[in-house]
Amino acid sequence: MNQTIDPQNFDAPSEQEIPNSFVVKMLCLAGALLLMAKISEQTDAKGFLVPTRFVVSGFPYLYAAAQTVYNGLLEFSGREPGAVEIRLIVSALASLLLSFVIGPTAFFFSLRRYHLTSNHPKLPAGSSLLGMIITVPLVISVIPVAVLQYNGFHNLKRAQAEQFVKDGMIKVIVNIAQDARIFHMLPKEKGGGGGSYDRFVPSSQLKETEWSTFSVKTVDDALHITGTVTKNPSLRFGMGKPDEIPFGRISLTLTSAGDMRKWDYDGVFK
Amino acid sequence: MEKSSVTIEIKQEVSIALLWTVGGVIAIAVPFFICLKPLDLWPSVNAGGLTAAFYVLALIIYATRGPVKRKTRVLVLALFGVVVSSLAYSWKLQESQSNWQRETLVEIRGVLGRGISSAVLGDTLLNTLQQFYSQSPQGRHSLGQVFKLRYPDAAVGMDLYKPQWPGDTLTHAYVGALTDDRVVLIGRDRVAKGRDPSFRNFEGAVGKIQERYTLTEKGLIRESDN
Repeated sequence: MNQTIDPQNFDAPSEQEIPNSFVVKMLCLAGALLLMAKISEQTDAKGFLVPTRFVVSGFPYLYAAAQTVYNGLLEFSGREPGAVEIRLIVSALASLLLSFVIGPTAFFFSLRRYHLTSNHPKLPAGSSLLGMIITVPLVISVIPVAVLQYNGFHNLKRAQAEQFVKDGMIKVIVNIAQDARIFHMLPKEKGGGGGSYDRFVPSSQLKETEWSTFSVKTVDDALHITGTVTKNPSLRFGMGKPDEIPFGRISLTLTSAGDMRKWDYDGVFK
Repeated sequence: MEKSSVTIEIKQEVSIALLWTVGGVIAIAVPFFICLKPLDLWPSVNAGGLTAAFYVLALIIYATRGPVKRKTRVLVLALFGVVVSSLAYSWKLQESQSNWQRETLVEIRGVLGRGISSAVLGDTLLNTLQQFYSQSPQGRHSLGQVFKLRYPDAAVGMDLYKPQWPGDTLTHAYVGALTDDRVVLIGRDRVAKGRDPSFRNFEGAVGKIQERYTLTEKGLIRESDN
């Protein structure tokens, strides 16, 4: 190789660790990637799902997660899952390249340079700074993010399990209320209450479900329907212990006119 | 390492770093685009992420070779192991969480669909029954006639549900049968899938939630078709 070697300069590298040209090129590449992600972000209304700050902080999987959840929302509202948009593709790729190519390359080349020369600069400059800005936050945050994510997923599952049980209990209470209305309006000779809820008993299917039990009580002319949790809702998603049954109660008052009044939610449903 | 070779390396540093950068961009972008699927970004991101892990590992091995002290190399590699493990854990957790959320959203829609059917169709029929039993003994109408009084246009196959807002995709409430002593309403969810994906719904749709409510003078019978 036709390199000019100047042994006198060996321990006295230039003032900057890496020449400006390299830093400028890397910054241009990083800027271009960020610009591409930013421009494509403006092209539709899906931005609310995509946390744009992660373009630089380095979690590219968030874009794939956003797309998956967005497709779930589309299915929820009766539409077909949408094709992955260019904006998300560019953002995910930009995030991958910034976090795992540009940042680490600048950082580790600076690290090597630091070890190769004995005349260390007091402050990191140029490429070192670029590498550190991108790489260090990722390295520092990765463990807390994993812990937070685990807790977040766990809490989300528990909340969702409780919501499922709550929705199921509301449906059963509505069915009991409908049966009670029928009982109330049927004449006594047809097995009804003839204008009263007295003697009304929910059918055995509605008295007890997998997650809860239900009872009724006549108060004045109204009927008080109560559902109580009997099984840990978290078990629905394979979490929690069977003997840890949280307090959860839903009650409804059915007026003599057949109106559902005063829904009350206690315990985990509050 | 010789002083001269170190000097050469320093002088070539920009070229080598650019070469690594370009190589890294290509190494990650190629599998990323090869695995790109129209509806799912996960295969691309996973392929890119896996390649990125190998790229950073190779970069570390290159950047921490001699004359960098062995201790530094081991330390950097250990830190890399911790970071990659944590990142991989977060990554896979996020993948399973987003897929779980998607499935759960669809499941929630099903629960809501059945609840809405129960509330809308059940109340429609109960109000008919209430009116039926509220009649005076003179000139009593049959159950079917009372229903027709409440819904003059009602006919078998007709959808009684009126959307509550533009784009309301909640349910359909079809009249399944209408005789003097029996009124059948069929609640068919517009969106949510039922238990059997091949189930033929009342009016030609396939696989959607369908609940059947039969009103007689004795009361209401609820059946879940799908």
